[in-house]
Amino acid sequence: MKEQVLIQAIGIYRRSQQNFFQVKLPRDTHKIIGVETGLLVLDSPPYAFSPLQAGSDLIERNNLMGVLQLKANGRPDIFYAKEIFERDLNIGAGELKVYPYDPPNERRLGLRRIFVPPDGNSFDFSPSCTHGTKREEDPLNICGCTVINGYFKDSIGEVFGYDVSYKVMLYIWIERQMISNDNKPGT
Amino acid sequence: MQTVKKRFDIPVTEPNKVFSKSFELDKNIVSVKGILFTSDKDDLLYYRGSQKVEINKEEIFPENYESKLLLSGINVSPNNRYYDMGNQPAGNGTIKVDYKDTDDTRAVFVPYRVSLYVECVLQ
Repeated sequence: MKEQVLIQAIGIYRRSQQNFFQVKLPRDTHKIIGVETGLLVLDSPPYAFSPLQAGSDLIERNNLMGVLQLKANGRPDIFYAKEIFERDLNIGAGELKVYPYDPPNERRLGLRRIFVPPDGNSFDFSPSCTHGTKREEDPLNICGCTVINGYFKDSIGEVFGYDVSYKVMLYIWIERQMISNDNKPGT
Repeated sequence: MQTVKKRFDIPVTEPNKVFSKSFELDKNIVSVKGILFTSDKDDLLYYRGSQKVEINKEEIFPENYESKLLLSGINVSPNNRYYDMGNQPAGNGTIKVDYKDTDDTRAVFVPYRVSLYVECVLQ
């Protein structure tokens, strides 16, 4: 048995766009063992995905890009469905932060705004690249599947009222039966 | 089982381009236990990066496999940061990486460095 990953890019260019796609699995696929997803934003309204500034003490709603569904051929049920979010905007909620000294009188009077330079140690928000956990596939155990029928529907375009262009990357981990040709005649 | 960690760098100097590099492991390395990608600008690697990785001419990750899936943040314990590859035989000891930078509106391009860390098992 050998593990392999198949990649399918799903391009979305218009609001409310629906995308139907098929992924053909290799003939010697034994089973599907996992699925993971990624996202590449190609075009979006300015500041659409900018998080709130530090110290706002607010929990933000995550941006739902769309919904993905996967079905195995010849079977009626959906075996995998996932809401694709742009990122976890609240990944650093509750984190302790150190701010420069701010004299109370000036702060009360609103005379001075503190500028925290983005020097690598003082991000104005907690990015996923530093605070994300280890990324692993969602485990599955789907046997006897040769073709995956997929469906993705855009949501973020409806919310923004704008044609957001992005690609959803779908990674399908499979287990293959490696059949040796050594004993076959004529090989 | 004695292990050793190796680091290989890929400078990314232009946007929307593929940077191919081959690295040689030492002769006394028998297998690869884990790999990890990092960068001097984590956000660019996270949002813009994808790569193909081959070890001993065997494709481990295909083209367009996103780098963010092989990154570990500071929330991950140092003992768990490497992507577990079991014990992939090192064979001729060649690791080939085709790193691709792709535009993403969330991270504007500036030159950056991609580092590949490899956890190897010694003979």
